[in-house]
Amino acid sequence: MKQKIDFQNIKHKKTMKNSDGEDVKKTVLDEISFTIDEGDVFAVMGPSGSGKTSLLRLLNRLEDPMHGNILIDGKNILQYPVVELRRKVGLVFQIPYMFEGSVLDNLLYGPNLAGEKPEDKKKQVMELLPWFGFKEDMLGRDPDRLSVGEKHRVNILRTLMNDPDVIMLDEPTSSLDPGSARNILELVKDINQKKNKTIVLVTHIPEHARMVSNKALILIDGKIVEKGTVEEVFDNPGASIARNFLEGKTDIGNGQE
Amino acid sequence: MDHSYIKIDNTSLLTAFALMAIAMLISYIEKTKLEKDFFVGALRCFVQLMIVGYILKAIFDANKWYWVALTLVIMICVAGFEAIRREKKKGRYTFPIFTAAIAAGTISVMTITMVFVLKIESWYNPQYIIPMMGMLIGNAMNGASLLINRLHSEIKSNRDKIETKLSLGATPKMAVGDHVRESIRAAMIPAINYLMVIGLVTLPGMMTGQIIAGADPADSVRYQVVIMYMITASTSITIFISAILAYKGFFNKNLQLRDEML
Ligand SMILES: Nc1ncnc2c1ncn2[C@@H]1O[C@H](COP(=O)(O)OP(=O)(O)OP(=O)(O)O)[C@@H](O)[C@H]1O
Ligand SMILES: [Mg+2]
Repeated sequence: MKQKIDFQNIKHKKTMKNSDGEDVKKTVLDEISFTIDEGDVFAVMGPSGSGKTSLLRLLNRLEDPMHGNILIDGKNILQYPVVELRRKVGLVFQIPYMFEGSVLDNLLYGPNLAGEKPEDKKKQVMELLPWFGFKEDMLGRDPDRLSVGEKHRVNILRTLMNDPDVIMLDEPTSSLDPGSARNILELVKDINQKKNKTIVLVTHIPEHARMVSNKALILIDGKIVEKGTVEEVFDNPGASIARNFLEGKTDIGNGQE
Repeated sequence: MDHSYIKIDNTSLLTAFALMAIAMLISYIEKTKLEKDFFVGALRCFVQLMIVGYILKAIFDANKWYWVALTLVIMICVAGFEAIRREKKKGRYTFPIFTAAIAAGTISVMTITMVFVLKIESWYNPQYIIPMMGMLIGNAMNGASLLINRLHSEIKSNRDKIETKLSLGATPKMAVGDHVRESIRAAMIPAINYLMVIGLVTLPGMMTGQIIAGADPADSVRYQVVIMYMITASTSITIFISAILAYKGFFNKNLQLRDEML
């Protein structure tokens, strides 16, 4: 996988109950087309409920779009074996769910599934720990007892341990103070530059996108209202709705009709 | 040994019905408005059991393997249906899975018992197989019902954790392993509790019945022990088979959790 990713006219709906308890289909993504190149730090911005998480879930194949194709290196993602694809295009969830066992057990979850040698992987973990601001005593700890910031970092490292080509991070800075958020963003930059991973970064904070990404798009109500290089998106947003979002005039949660 | 017992004629039955009148009277005085339910319940209990009694008598008299087999098939299908009745989200395979699990758990244990414990020559001798299978099927049904209920709520409340595991490359089997295990445990606990308190808190119906019918209590205890082991074994098998088949219904062929099943 050389990881050029093409979203081609994606449309996605979800079933939800209306106030009468009937099932209705709601469009969560509409006419989504864009390209992520190898080595990009691609920011997906948008207010709450605009479809950012849904977009990542499609690329990780936790669900499939109703219409349109997603291609990786020109090949439809439906044609890759699911497990292999998920490991190569890793997804770091918005909420860091920790599994049973120690922090080390969590970090080795993916490698163990693939039958990789625990000793080799543990060595790799040890090398990465300082990077993530952890000491060795972290490994034996109960992951449920970690601070939110620590959980976010374990969450990222856990996905990194699968050695993916692309890492998608869903709001890795949510519910963190500015300092911790900055640490995570530095980490993201490092992962991109030193580990040569393509990054897809979801955030509703434009400032964070600006700090680390080279390309970006703005999603509002499931539609792309702006896309391009960071300069294009931030300095010259064409759509007024995009401008409002960047200037913080779109309140979070006001994205829905 | 004395095999005679007091038979209950129709007059006595009607007298016993007076007991129900007491329950209805209490309900009336306390204004619980349950009198009608009590009455209908009492009537249904009477009618249903009478019908079953006559059918069983006919089957016993006929003593033909196919009648026995048909009865068992019906019992198992009803149990399969009943086990999943309260589940709101059923997949295409839910009924077949649970019916098959109940069939496998009960028939296998019954076969082993008849061959090695009771050493019965003709398997379709309805005197043994129908009441014993009835007990096994009833308990297996309860176990299966607990299992599906728990499995559903486990997967629903842990869906994000499960999807996190999937995203790291886990197969559905690995992603729900803990939850399947937890559901199996929860479904088996009542059966284990029953083993623990039997005789102390409860006197099982079969043993009571045999004793009233004039059997030596020491003999009926032996029967009851065998029955208890059979019930535990067949319920466990049913729960296990249901679990390892049913979790698959929550995923599609692309290893994705099915939203519509949660
Ligand atoms: N499983 C689901 N069933 C029905 N609707 C859903 C489901 N998941 C998400 N949605 C809806 O789809 C829309 C997009 O959700 P999504 O999670 O992609 O938004 P988001 O941009 O990630 O928001 P946030 O920033 O709050 O995480 C929302 O309106 C949400 O309510
Ligand atoms: Mg989200």
